[in-house]
Amino acid sequence: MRKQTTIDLSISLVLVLAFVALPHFYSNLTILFMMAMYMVLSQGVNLLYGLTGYMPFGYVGFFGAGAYGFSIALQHLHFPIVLALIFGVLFTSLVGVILSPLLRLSGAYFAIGNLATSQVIYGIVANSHLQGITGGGDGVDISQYFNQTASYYVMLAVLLVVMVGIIWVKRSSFGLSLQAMRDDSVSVAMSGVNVVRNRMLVWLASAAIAGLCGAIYAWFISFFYPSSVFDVSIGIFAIVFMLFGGQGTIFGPVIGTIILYGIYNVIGVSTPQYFQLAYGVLIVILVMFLPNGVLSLFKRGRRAHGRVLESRPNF
Amino acid sequence: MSEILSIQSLSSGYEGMQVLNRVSLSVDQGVTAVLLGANGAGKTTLLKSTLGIISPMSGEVFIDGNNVTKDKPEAKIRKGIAYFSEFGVLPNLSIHENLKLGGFFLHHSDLKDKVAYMYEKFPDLKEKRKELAGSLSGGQRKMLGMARALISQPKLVLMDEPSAGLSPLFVNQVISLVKEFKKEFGSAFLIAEQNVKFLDIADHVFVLDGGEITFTGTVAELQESDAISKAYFGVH
Ligand SMILES: Nc1ncnc2c1ncn2[C@@H]1O[C@H](COP(=O)(O)OP(=O)(O)O)[C@@H](O)[C@H]1O
Ligand SMILES: [Mg+2]
Repeated sequence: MRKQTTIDLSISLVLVLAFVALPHFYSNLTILFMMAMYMVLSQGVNLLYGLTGYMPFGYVGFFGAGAYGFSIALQHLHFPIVLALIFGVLFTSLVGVILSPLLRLSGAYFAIGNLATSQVIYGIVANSHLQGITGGGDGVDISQYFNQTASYYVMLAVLLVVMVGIIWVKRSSFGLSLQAMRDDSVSVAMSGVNVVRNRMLVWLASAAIAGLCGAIYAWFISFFYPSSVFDVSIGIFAIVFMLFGGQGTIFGPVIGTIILYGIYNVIGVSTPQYFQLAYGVLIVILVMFLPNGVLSLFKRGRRAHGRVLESRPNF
Repeated sequence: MSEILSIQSLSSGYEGMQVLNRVSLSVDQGVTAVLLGANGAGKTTLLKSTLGIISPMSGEVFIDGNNVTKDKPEAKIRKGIAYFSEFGVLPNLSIHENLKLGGFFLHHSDLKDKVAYMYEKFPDLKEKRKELAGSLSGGQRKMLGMARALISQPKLVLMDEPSAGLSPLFVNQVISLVKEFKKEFGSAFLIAEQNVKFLDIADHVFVLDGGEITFTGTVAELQESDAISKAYFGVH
């Protein structure tokens, strides 16, 4: 194993172990859970945006789909927790497959299209005709399965797996091909890379991560309304944290979540509406002035301050 | 000797405009074939249609006897075809990453040897391996593009005007590289060129003129014919 990989894996392990230990020193398990969840979510966004350049403004659609898939599996199919989580992920992946034509759109069209589809999913779930299955606007009550400790540790396990996954992707030739596809997909195809398939894989992986987060979140809170698991700001937070820490990096989303979600909890919870505005502005500022996030300020590498800009070669 | 590439009655072009008219040609294993043609003759269109970057209107493409007309470009590349054109390299990846990408579908251990082999051929690239490809000069970039295309040691290489924009020194390097790959790996080449210097290494020549093949034969036969003067000077 390369030295850098060993270091990255060690840092990830320490991070997760710290979260395992933290409840003994800090009693607000919800904040710890949410922080771990946002780390995972912003890694999911990182996978998609940092590697392929698609900005999923409607990322919460997958989150909500996972929450509902999980709950339906518990309530109607009477699955045990683990199977219900898996069902939630599979259900979200299916939604991902259905929405995959979005990948044909580029740039802002994708971002807006993704946002719109997340609202469509929300609309379907909250629809009163589906009351019998989804609970409609009355929300979902799975409080008989309430177990915050267990759901917290499951989230940490997911965090570890996702960190290891990101580290693997970043150093694999698969990851290299993704990065290159972002710049010039035709040129990459000339190296025998199946661009369409790779893009689809990343899209589904990213969807599955959000779905799993949504499912575990549903388990953690065990009672929720459609509006709470389809709240667009969940996805926006994940995007901001990822952009702030550094897109395409292994630890950017982690750092971004710790700092920004930390600040949010210290001063923002009482006035969330201002934070949504502030984070909206922050997205614009980050994309324009600090496209590689705060981590890039501390790194003096060949890629620290923006990449070489140049027009696409005319294929 | 068996055919590695066979193009049969291929017609192709762009929306509303047919460029190639029933082009047929074949390249045998390990043979260096040069496709001569003036600007606008349809060389690029022919190579792109062969690979499937442009879908042909009619006609067929066979690789190793298999009909691959409908295969996607990346599928053909995985079958051992390489394509080199001006599209070149990925400027935001390092030189080393560009090379690794060229061997994307190779086995990991195999790739290592092949990267080392390419560095042997291009010591300049080895020296700058950690730098971004975007920092290379035009000529160096072109060489990196070539290294990237050749790294998998393909059985057939399609080259689109490798000499365009290159200094004579680089052109000679390309020529010796072609010879070397032919000798060491038995690679076949189909090289679209305007530069007649490539005739020095041609086992076989095709002349493309106005979207049609007007000559097929050896260099010696070409010298007996008037296909070149027609193609280049429009003498009919
Ligand atoms: N993208 C395109 N769209 C429309 N016509 C094109 C396009 N590319 C090339 N052509 C036309 O096709 C003909 C052949 O071009 P090309 O294959 O590039 O020739 P060559 O490579 O031999 O110089 C030319 O008349 C050119 O104008
Ligand atoms: Mg051309």
